[in-house]
Amino acid sequence: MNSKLDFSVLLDPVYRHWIFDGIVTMLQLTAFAWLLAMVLGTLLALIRMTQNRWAERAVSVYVEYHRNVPMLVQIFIWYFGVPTLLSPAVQHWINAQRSEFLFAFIAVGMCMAAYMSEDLRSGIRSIPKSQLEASRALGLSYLQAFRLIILPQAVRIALPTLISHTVLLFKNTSLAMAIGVAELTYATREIESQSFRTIEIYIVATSIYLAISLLIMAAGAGLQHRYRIKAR
Amino acid sequence: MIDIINIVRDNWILLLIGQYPNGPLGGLAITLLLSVAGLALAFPVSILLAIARVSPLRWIRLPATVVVYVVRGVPLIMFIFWVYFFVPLLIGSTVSGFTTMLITLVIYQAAYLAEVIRAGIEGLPRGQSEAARALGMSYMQTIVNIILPQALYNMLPAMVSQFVDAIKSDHIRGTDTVAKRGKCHD
Repeated sequence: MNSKLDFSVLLDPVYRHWIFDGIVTMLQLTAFAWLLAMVLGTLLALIRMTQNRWAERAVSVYVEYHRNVPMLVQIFIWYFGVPTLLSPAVQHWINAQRSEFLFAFIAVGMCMAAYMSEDLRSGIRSIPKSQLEASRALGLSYLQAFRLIILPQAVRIALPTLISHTVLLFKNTSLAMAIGVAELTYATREIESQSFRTIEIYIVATSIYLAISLLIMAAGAGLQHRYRIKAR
Repeated sequence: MIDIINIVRDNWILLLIGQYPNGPLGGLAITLLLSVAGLALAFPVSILLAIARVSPLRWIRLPATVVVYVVRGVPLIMFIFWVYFFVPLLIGSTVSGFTTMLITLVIYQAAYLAEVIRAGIEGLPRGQSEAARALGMSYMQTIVNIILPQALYNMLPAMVSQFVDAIKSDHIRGTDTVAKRGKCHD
């Protein structure tokens, strides 16, 4: 192991390009997966609130599966398992696209949707039932009541856990490396095995991850401060 | 469907053994061993971290806060790498993949559990510790006899879900080529 740190190797244009591309892919994956997780999570929470026994059971099966199976396994199932169920023509078409990115995004997004829906549900549960009843009595439809009355309060209450799960989602995009998505961890490994500057490249990658995570946490704290419920 | 059963029947032994030179344990067996050992060690560490996080002394609180934020901000894969490189530097000899993973799990889970326990401590009414101090208990006595039992009890559900997470998180070992690479370096 080298005793001296030498970062100048990493300024090589090829390596710089890899790191930059890695960061872009990582952020794309995070953004897409986060959107999917939030939309799907809200839908799941909404379905759970209808109190239809079967719908509720279906959602809880979804949540338990995604929370209790390791995310790496879920990514493998999507990448290696699901395409074999499709017709050859569709498989061919998928392989021509960035299939590893697509499946990583679906896997991470669907897994985190389970966490997000649980966060939202606990937010919804903490709002008195009378609020929904009152808004229904005032003539709002079920969806209007949810969108205008329940959700704005529930999101505010659930914000701390939503933020920590956003950070978790961001960190878990590093697992997409296992199916060959060229995000930051993948680029780090590539550069490391070519330049043998192990410690240096890992210091750089760790700092980038840490900086973005802290940024998400800080943004979350800002949001929490800005949108706090004043009457409480 | 019958294929799945056949595959499992023909290969179930692979769930229990590992690669040839590194000993007989692997797969499911080592997952269970790692999670149990990791949790048993992480739990006391997390209590210490949580107490440090709420300490009135700045020079105790600050390092604990830094540890928690760094662990929360770095992916587990990156963390495994750092443990793999720095533990040998500290103790002066190479460590096995099992030890590396165990140390990583302990630090990682301890940081997350500490946050859960801290939430439990801060969720208690202030009157509890004030009353205990007023009755003549020392700071440590208050923590051990009054605060911790209540905080741990209140946070039991969140702690259980963190334990489940520990069992799941050692799968990342699978993506880890660090241990293999280490042999080339020697």
